[in-house]
Amino acid sequence: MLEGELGENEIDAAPTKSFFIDMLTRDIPLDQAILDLVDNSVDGAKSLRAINGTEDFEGLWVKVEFGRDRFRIIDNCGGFDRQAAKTYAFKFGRPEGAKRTPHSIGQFGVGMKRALFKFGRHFVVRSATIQDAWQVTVPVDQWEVTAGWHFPITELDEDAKVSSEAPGTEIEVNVLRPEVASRFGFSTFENGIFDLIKSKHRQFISEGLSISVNGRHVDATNLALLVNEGLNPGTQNLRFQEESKEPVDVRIIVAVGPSNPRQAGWYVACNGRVILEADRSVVTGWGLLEEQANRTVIPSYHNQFARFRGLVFFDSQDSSQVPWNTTKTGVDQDNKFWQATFERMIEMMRPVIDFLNELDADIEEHSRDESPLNQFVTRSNVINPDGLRVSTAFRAPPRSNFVKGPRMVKIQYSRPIIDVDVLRDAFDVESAKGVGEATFDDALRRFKR
Amino acid sequence: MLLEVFRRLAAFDALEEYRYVGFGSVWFSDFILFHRAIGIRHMLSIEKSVTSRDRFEANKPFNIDVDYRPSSAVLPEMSYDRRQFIWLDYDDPITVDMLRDVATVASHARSGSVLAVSVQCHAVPDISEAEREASKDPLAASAEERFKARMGDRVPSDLSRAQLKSWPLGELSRRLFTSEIEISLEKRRLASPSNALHFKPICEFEYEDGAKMTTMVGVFFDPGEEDRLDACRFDQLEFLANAGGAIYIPTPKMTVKEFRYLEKQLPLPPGRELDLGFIPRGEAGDFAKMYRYFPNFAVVES
Repeated sequence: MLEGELGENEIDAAPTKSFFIDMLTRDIPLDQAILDLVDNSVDGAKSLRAINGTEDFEGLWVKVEFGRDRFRIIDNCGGFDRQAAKTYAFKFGRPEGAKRTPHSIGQFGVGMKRALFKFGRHFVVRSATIQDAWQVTVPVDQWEVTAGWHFPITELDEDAKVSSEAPGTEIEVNVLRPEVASRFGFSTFENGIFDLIKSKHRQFISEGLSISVNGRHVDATNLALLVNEGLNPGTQNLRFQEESKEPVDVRIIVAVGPSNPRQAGWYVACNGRVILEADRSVVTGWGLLEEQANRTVIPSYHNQFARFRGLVFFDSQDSSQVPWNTTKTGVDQDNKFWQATFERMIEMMRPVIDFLNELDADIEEHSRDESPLNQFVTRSNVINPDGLRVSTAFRAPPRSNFVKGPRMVKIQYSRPIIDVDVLRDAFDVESAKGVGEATFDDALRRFKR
Repeated sequence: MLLEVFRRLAAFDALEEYRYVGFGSVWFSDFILFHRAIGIRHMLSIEKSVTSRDRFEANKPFNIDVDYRPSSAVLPEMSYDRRQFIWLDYDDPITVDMLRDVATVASHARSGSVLAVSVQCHAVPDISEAEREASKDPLAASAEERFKARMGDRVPSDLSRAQLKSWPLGELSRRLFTSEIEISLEKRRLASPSNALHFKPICEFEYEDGAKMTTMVGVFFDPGEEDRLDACRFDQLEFLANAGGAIYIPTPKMTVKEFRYLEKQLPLPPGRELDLGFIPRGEAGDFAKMYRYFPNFAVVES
């Protein structure tokens, strides 16, 4: 408990450390906490890239390791110095005037501490830049009952894996909370983290950053968008700026993709970090789609919505300007730049949905195999969204371009199998479909002039 | 073989106290076997085909409880008061419903209960589905993507196509079941440590019954009853001899006469070789070791 000089009419409202830790760690799920630590490594990589003037992240790596006994993350992304440790890395909240990493993703000043207190009861942070090296060891149980909100900073251990010769950061939690230890031991959790990093850090991985989870290297993925004669994605570039703040650049892309329901929806990234992927909720335009369709729209392998892809990229040198929430798990819907962007997303979505409905109608009429519009789409080429920079309207060919012969309509009916078999023999055809066609043609011959 | 495993449970507790739970079929052959061979008295058959109910009732050999609902409905609701021998003999390749069934059993089972799970491992339907789609759409989702979409985080995203059929699928299926059990037990332990159980695998089989099939068998036990588990001496099971990994059970193609000819010589006195008569060596194979376990019910009944 903290001691202070309290007057008779004063209430000591200072928080206890255990309350504070409880509140701090409550609002972040375990998997997002791991992502926060990876984000910090990414920021280190971004700083290095800026300092060295290199194009990408080649040569830089982050290793994430966890199991029932401990958690560890280590990188070679430049580390941070004592000054940074003292002024923000170990403070709760980012003080005004603290040095900001341009275009950073770990901006709330709370990610690392939140993750470490969430994972366990004993942790060590070691970091080394080319000029400085230090470590902070926190035995949480002891710290909780000691007065004062400070952490001792010391020299690096002898056997530290980072140093001024190999600058980077190593964070280790060696006493895990039981429920955390339990989850870290599940293969499902490991697979989940692997997939999360793959999608949330997609852009950095594609720019050369090597990330591994328990020794498994996370490979790059690319969102596939389709282009063809008369079919191309729509792109719009916007810029917003709050007075005397850094501007925010926004790029919105809408497109048709492969018929993969898990990938359908909106992807939103802030400063390269994916916040929402394949989102199909009311938060993004998908909700409006459902409103208009008057039902829940669930993309499946065989409906047109499986092909919708929407992407939004927010970028700003000042990471407090982009519209993410504090846990980077969603957008801050109250943010005015998000709201303005949202209006554009809805507008841009409309022509794509219209085209997909046309595609659906064509398939209804001709069947999936025979639909000329579907054949056109499945024979399209795949491109990467990263290359789409210039503002362009979404274009898709009208159904009328593909009319093959006369308009068709499907006839469908049931008859007892015994009877169908009689006609199969009579007309010498193989299938029920054959019987339908043969009997129709036969009747038509009698009546058509 | 399951009979052998079941028999050994007598060291854990009296077999008349156990309940056998299985998936019916009109023949009730497993029920007949367990009742006649080791005197099992409490039995529950889970049968999802409600339309054949009358036929089942007519064919019930003795007083067996039958629940005409899918296992996903029965397993969460049935009683776990007794120690049980549960054999989930699925006909199809692994699905999430099967994994949930197994998790349900693990979360409720009483110490000393045995769980056996059999699945088909010829090929997952995602393969033919993907092939059908690929012919029309080169960008359609692959078999691995479809399987991963069904299974979620249970499988890594770098799953290979080879693991989706034949014996690799069998191995993957057994591993998925074991993981599901372990995770369920872990959650059980965290929620209620005094109620915690461990799971010990006993054996795994691979066999071909038209299609490739695989079975895994294991026992749940409370650490406090570990001595009873040891007394079962599961490691002594004859067919485990050179084990490590799954045991392949061959299905020899022999006539009934040939089968009898070989069977007459068994058990072989030490040093004696099996006289094969005119039976090809390939067919007779491991007969001496496996003969007691061949699922040749026609032979048992005649």
